[in-house]
Amino acid sequence: MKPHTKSFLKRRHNSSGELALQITSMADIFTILLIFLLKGYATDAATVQPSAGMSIPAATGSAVMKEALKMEVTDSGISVEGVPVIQAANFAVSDSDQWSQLGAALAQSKKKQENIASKNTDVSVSSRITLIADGRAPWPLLKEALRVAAENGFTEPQLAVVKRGE
Amino acid sequence: MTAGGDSSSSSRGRGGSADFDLNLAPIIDCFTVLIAFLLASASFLSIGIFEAAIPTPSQASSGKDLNPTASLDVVATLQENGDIALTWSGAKAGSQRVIASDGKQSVEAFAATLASLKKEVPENTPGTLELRGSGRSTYTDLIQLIEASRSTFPSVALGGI
Repeated sequence: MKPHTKSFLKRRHNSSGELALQITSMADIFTILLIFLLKGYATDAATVQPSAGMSIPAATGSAVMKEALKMEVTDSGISVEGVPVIQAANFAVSDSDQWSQLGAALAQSKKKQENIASKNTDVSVSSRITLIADGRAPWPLLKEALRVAAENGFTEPQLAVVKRGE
Repeated sequence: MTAGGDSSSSSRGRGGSADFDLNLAPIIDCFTVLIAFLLASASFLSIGIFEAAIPTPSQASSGKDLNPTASLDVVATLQENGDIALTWSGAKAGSQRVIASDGKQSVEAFAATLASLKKEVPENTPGTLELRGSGRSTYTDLIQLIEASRSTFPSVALGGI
């Protein structure tokens, strides 16, 4: 950067009286901010955007999340990769036929993985599934969701938690 | 915004003047938009995971037939009243009930029981913990138990599925 030899007042007002804003330092700050944000963006292995009003339990000692199919369990239902599959009211699934819809959605995801793996040898079919559940979600609902997942080849659940300061 | 745009254009043309001011206004504009976009899309929630497994019938039978006394297999079943029923087999066999305190599962007592159990078997004995929920237990209950057992039983399976 060019060293500033002019006085503060001279710098701000030129001879015609027009105000010239000194934005070099602002550009420096913005550059640092931009680099910081881009770095954070690049190092996130996988991203999770929980639904509004969802409270994921906090825990220490959790591992870094690996990229996997995401299944979200909230009080209003279950969604796969952000697409609602099962409707529920306060964690209660009214129509049991909806479980077959979850099975179909998971089977479709598995088939997609297999198709990609058959065309690209660098990609392998994964049996991981990330379960992002509300802390109040009852075990019977989770158990049923995991059972359907296991039936469709997703036998390695990753249970999502909010990292607590260690 | 102006940042010496006039003087830069004139001095650039002649090339004689050393007073060269870069026009930073469009750069600042771009940076402002980029930073606003990145801040809006940034996730400030740090998500971690606990890896678990769902034991399939074939795994359950094949894994235990090889050398049943080589590992310590613990099954923790959450009860409706908050108690945790522990049964273990393999290197050591037995059972114990971790009594709930104030209707809630006692996570500390659960962790202490697992730690003392692990001490009673040879140091390098592998161990597996299978968790089974009850109709009343929630996702938070499971996470608390997995968190508490992490140091003694890193490998956790979700049973009863």
